[in-house]
Amino acid sequence: MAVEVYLAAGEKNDIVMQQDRAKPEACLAMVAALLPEARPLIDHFRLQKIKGRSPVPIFRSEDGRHCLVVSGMGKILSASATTSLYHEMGELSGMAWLNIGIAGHRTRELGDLRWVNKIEDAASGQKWYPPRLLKTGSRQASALLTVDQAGEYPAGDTLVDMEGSGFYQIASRFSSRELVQCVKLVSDNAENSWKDLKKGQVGLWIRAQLDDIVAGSEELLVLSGDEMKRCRLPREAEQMLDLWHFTQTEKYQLFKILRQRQVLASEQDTAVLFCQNNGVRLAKEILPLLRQELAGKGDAAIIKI
Amino acid sequence: MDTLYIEREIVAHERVRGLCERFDKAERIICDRYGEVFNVKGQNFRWQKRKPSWILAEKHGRMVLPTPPAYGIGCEKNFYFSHILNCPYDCRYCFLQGMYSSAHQVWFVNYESFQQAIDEVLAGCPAKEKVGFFSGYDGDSLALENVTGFAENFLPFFAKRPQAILELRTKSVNVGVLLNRPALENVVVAFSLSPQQIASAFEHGAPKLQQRLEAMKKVAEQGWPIGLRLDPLIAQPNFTEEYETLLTQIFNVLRPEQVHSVTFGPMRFPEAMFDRMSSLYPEERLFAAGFERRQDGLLTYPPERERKMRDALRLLLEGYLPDKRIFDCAE
Repeated sequence: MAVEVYLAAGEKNDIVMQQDRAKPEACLAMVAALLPEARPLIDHFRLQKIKGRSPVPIFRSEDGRHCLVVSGMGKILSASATTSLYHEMGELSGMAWLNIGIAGHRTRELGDLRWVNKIEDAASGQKWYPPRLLKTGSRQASALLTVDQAGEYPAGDTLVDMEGSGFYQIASRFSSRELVQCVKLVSDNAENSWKDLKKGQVGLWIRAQLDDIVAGSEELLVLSGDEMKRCRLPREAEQMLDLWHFTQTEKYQLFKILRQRQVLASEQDTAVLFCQNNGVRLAKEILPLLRQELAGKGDAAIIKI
Repeated sequence: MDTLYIEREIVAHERVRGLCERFDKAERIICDRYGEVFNVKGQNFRWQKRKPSWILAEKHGRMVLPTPPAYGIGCEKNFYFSHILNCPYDCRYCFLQGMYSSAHQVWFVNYESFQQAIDEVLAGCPAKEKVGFFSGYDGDSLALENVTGFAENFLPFFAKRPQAILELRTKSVNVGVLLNRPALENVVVAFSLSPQQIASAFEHGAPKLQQRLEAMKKVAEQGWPIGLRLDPLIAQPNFTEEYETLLTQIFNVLRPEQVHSVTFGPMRFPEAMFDRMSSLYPEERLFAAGFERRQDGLLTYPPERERKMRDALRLLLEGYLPDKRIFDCAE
């Protein structure tokens, strides 16, 4: 699919590029509420603003391995922007997701970086626990309370923001929860009100913590690559869907059989050739034929160690 | 152990406090119920297995459950209970990876509730009946002993209840707890064993076969009744020769009279469970073919292949042990 790719609005080189959007081998999708939070990441990952149908600004690296959406404030906008990014990136299975933003904390110092190990939505009481798989931040995690309106700081080691629950609830529908993480920078505390936040300060804090954020991002990217590899269908699946029409159920069964066939196949014909050589004309003839072929390979499947 | 999830109600439990003191650098996350973290929709067992967390919880509801009908080692009635869910090892054939979407290690710390439930079961059984209690159904009974103290706690309990037979099932070599005390007649220490090649290829993270045999020898010499658990049977070239070798290795370290029981059974999975396992590891040859769907919905090897494997193994076992100590779980 060809899409138009733009540099970020206002950039010096405001040129339009055309590029082939091949599916990346791994992808990290980042969600930030405001442009000052996003800017250090846009710069670091060399993201370019893309022109699409999305109502929110979406940025993407040339190789498609990194992308970012600026959602606006609040959990509904965060959830909505996450969805937009997912669609814009081609609804890839196995994308990793990272919500990056600022949060308040009663006691922690301004600029502290905290990975999130628990998210609670204050309005609904619903909770999520992002699995703690990353090495980065394994000793730097806090809980997060997502509220609709700023108020008092929660007790204990709990951050407070306005986006986390909206992001996590939606992103964890697109990818397995291990691939969905949040990282927050403390922007205000009991002694420093968010109202006193100076322009440009958020960007400075994020730039100061960029090494850790990038390290976590790299780990997520590796996980995304592994998950995409796991989810990847045999190449010939696409070819078969072009040649024959399958129902949804048949497609699921076909993919399952093609994967099994791929594990056992060494030098045999492709499934397409095999079907054509056996005179298949209709999709409904294919599944029984391939099943029969697999059954005949029972002996080949017996473990050779 | 980097991350501990702890149910709010048991934060002050002595076993929880003990663990927290021991792993004082671990990140602690409080939850209300372990089900908020464990086996939640949208998790991936394979990726969690890379760095599983521990979940400390309290077991509620039915603490002790009847085993499936074919599950037994000669007792009139059979039950199982699970103080842990999941296992530190990563055996590719293990049904746990198809049963749970989480690879986290769940530890139910309320041992006393399990013991009360066991007493209630025993109270409902005639005194002359032997009642089997299996502790390694949803995890390994001994692998985490150094952390859980499970055997340390339950052995004295079963010592006072000779009507009850406890099975400790393990792939570990973590047998110190058994070597420091007199053996109990009613506790069977059951070692899960596979031929060397199968163990090397599929039992990721588990002690090597030779190490398990050495641990088994020590336990047997201490006088503990030994169980041999030879499941699942996995089809392979030279199946008979591989098992012949395995049995030779086993009976090089054991005398037949030290063996309480042998169980074996073929690979069988409900179809949905099999699909989950194979989709976790699409590159895995073990799941690629060779299975058939039976009328009852189970995926198994074709009946003839399965029968041949079972018959061959039984014949080999009968060369060492009387028939009454051999239990075919498929029958």
